[in-house]
Amino acid sequence: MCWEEKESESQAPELSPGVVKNDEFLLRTMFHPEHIVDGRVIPPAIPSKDLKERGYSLDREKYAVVRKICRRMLAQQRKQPDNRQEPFISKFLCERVRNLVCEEDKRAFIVVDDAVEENTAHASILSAYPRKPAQIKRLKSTLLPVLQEMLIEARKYSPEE
Amino acid sequence: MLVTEMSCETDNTAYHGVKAVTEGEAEQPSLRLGRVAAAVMLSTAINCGVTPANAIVSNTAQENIDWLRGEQRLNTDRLDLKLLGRVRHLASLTDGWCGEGSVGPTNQAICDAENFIRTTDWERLSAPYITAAADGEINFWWDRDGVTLDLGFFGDGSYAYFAKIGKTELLDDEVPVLQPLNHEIIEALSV
Repeated sequence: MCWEEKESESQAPELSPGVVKNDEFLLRTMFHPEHIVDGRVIPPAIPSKDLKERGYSLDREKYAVVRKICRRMLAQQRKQPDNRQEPFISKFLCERVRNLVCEEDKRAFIVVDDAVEENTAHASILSAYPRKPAQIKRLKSTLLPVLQEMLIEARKYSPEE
Repeated sequence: MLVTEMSCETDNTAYHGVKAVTEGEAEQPSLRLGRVAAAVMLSTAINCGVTPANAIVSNTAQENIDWLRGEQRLNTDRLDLKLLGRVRHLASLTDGWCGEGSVGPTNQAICDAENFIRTTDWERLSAPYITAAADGEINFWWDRDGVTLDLGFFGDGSYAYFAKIGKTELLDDEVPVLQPLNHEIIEALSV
């Protein structure tokens, strides 16, 4: 299935509220100091395997339940309290990610809705094409500024109405 | 007279060597030891080219003690040892450490990262930030003065990297761990 098909068709039609639209805001939780150093998001915050295969997990803001996000953050903090001292939420527009290009002006990423039973607001970012590890690292370098743009301390986050 | 009186001073303490004594006094046990000490002191002073008056001061100087410590003990301030310690710490991460589906670094990834540290000249290269990713990658990250380097070990005996030096991009896959970093990158990140 090519990237156009993956984006235009829901990956979980029974659970998903529909394909992810360009004007939707997406959310990603991360922690300091694990993945945020000196106020900047670092590459290990985006696992290469997620971009290649599994999907880099996000929440679609308009369908997300904030209480569930908080519960998830607390559970993650408990596993690694030293590395996850301060939780943050990165908020960005879907269109920003879809507009990124990489080598030879090829599309960098796709954003798909892959809702799961525990989280119908679940979406993922994936590499639009099969790429080698070093190229995936180059992809990450284009995504990091997007994650960095609107980085909010989790306790200060509130969803827009 | 059998021996000569010797005295050395260090700080406010004066040590007086064996005094001049008669042959009969010299056979007493307490003074026999003193004769040996005096002979050693004189011999040391002559061999080291220092005068008896400052032999003890010279031999017990702080710089000599520091040098001995450096030669005989592990210097835990060494950057390579600190980096090795950091990688070893990451070896304790197990599957699920970063949530469902996450994996801990494999033994091979740890070995690869350690071998890279051992063969890199850390007197030239600045220190990286070392951490693990949820997919088991051991990641080394440099970000200084407009230069970034994202270098990862996945446990296959090699490393992959992407570097940005100003507008120049350098990347490579499957670089054997014992192969040094690209010299352009080393220059850009040198201390």
